[in-house]
Amino acid sequence: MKKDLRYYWQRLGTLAIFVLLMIIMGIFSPQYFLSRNNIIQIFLQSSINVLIAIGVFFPILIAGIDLSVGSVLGLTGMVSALLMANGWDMWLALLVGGVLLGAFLGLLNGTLVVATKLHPFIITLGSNMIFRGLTLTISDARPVYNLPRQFSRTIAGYVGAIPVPVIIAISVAIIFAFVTKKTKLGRGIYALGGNEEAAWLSGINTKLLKVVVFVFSGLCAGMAGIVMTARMGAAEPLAGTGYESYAIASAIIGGTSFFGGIGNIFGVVVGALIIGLINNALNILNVQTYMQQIVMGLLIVGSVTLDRLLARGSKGE
Amino acid sequence: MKRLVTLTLVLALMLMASVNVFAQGLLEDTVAEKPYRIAVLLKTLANPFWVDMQEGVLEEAERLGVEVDVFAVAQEGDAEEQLRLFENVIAREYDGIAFAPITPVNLIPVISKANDLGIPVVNLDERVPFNTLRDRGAYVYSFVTTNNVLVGEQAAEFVIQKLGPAGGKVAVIEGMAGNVSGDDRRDGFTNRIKQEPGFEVVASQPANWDRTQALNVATNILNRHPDLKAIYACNDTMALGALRAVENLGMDVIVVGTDGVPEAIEAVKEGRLAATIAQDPAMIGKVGLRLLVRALNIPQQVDVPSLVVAE
Repeated sequence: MKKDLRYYWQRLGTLAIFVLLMIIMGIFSPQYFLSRNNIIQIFLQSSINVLIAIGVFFPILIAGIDLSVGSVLGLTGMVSALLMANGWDMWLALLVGGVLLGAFLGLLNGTLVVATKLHPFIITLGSNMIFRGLTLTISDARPVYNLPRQFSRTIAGYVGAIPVPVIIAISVAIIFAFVTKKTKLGRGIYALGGNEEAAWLSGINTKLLKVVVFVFSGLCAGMAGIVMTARMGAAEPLAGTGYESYAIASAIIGGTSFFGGIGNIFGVVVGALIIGLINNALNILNVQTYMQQIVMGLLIVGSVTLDRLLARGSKGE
Repeated sequence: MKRLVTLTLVLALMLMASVNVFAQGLLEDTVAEKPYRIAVLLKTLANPFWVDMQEGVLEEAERLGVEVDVFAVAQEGDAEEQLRLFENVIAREYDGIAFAPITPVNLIPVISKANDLGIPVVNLDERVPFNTLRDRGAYVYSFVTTNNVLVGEQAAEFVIQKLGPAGGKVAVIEGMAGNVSGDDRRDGFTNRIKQEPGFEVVASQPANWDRTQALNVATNILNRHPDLKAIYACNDTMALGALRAVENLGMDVIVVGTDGVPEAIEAVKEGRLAATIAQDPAMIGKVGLRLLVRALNIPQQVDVPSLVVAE
C-alpha cells in the first residue's frame, strides 16, 4: 500500500498539487479563472519559465546548478534582436543569435566547470554577471525594438487556439523527456547524478556529460530568449533578470532532487505551470503586492515539503 | 487627427503641470552676486537623462553669469572613479559643488572633506541619506530631485482628464515591491484617483520593472476586468509591456507610463501610448545650480554697525 502511494506520488505528485491548487483557486476566484481562455493564458505565461526550467533541470540532475539562465535568456534575446535589426534573415538570426548562442554559452559554463573543478554555483554565479554585462554592453543598455512584424507574428502567434510559445515549450519538453528516458545519454546523466564515481567506473564519460548538461541548459534558455523577444516585439537589456530563481523553483517543485539523480521533465513542466498558475491567480484575486512574495514562498516550501513527506514513506526499504 | 489631439493634450497637461506643481519653489528669481566657480558632478554622460541635466546646468550657468564645469565618469557603475573625480574637484578649489551620487554612499568621505573646507554641496537626483551623513559628521546644503508622489499624481490627473466625468475602472502596474520611487508613484496615483468620484482602482499588481511580467500581469487584469479603462505603469518598460497586452486583446484602454524613455515617447507620438510622465532632468540641474548660488550668496561675515550711545 505504502509502496503503491510512493510509486504514484513520484510520477504524479506534482500534477496532484497542480490540480489541487486549480480547485482551490477555482473556489476562491471568480468563475472566469477556470475558463478556457484563462487556462490557455496560464500555459502561455508559463512558456518561458517552462523552457528555462527544463534547461536548468539538467545541471540540477547532476547535483549542480545553473544560475546564469536568466542572463543567457537576456543575451540571446538581445543578440537575435540586434541581428534582425541589422537586416539578417529572421530564421538565421534566431538560429545563430538564439539557439546556437545559447548552446555556446552553456558550453562555456560546462567547460569551465569541468576545467576548474569548481562547483557550478560559483562558475554560473560569475557567468551570470558576465553575460548580463555583455548584454548591456552590446545594447548600450537600450532596448531594441521595431523588429520585423513577421517575427512576433510567427513565434508569438497562434495555431488555432494554441499559442506558438506553448507549442514550442511542449515540443521541447517532449524531446527532452525522450532524451532522458530513452537514450543512453539520458541514462548516463541520471547515473552521473546518482553517483559520479560509480558512473565513471562503469565507463561513462562523466566530463563530457557534465558539459552536455550545461549545453542543454543554455540551449533551452536561448530558445526562451527567442520566445520572450517575440512576445514583447522588443529585446530589453535587463530581460530575464532573476528568472533563474523561478526556473530553479519549478524544477524543485517538480520533484527534482538537489542531491542529483532524481527528477523528470514532466514534473518540471508541471512545476513551472504551478508557478504560472499562482502568478495568474494572484493577479486575478488582486492579492496585495507585499503579500504575494509570502504566498509564493509558502507555496514553494509547502508543496516541496508535502512532496518529500509523501515520497519518504518507504525510502529506507 | 487623434494623434494630434493626444499630443496637444499631453503638451497642455505638461504645461498645466509645470504651472501647477512647479511654479512654487523653483527659485527662478536667483541672482548670482559674484561670478562663482562651480563644479557639477554627474553620474555619466552616456545616458540622455544626464546629458539633459548637463544642458540644463550650462544654460542656467550662462543666465546666472557663473562659471560651471561638468564632470562625469565614463561608466555609470564606476562609483570609485566618481569618488576620485570629486577629490580632484575639491583640489581645484571650486566655490561650490553639486553632485549626483552613483550610490547613496560612495561620496560620503569627500562630502565631509568639502564640508571641512567650507565648500557648499548640493545633492542631486538620488539622496545621500541624511542620517548616514550626520553620523559621519557631514552634511549637504540641499537636495533636488523628482518627487515621485507628484509623478503618480500627475499620471492620475492625466487619466482623470482623459476619461472625463464618466470615470471608470483603472489598474496600476507596480515596480519591484519595496522600491521607494515605485511605491511613491503608486501611492501618488492611487490616492489621487481615490479622491475622484466615479473612478476606482480595481487592481494594483507588481511586475518588477519587467516588460514580460507586465505583459502577463496586464493580460490577467484585463481578462479579469474587461471594462477596464486605464492602466498606469510605474515605469515605461512596464507600460510598453502593458500596451502590448492591450493591443493583443484589441481593447480600448489607455496606458500611461513613467520616465519618458525614447521608445515610450515614440509610442506616444504613434498614438499608442496615451502618455508618459517624464522627469525633467534639465530642471533638476538648474535648481541645483540656483541653490548653490544662493548658498554662496550668503555672506561669510556681516558687520553690524555699532551704535553710538550718547546723551
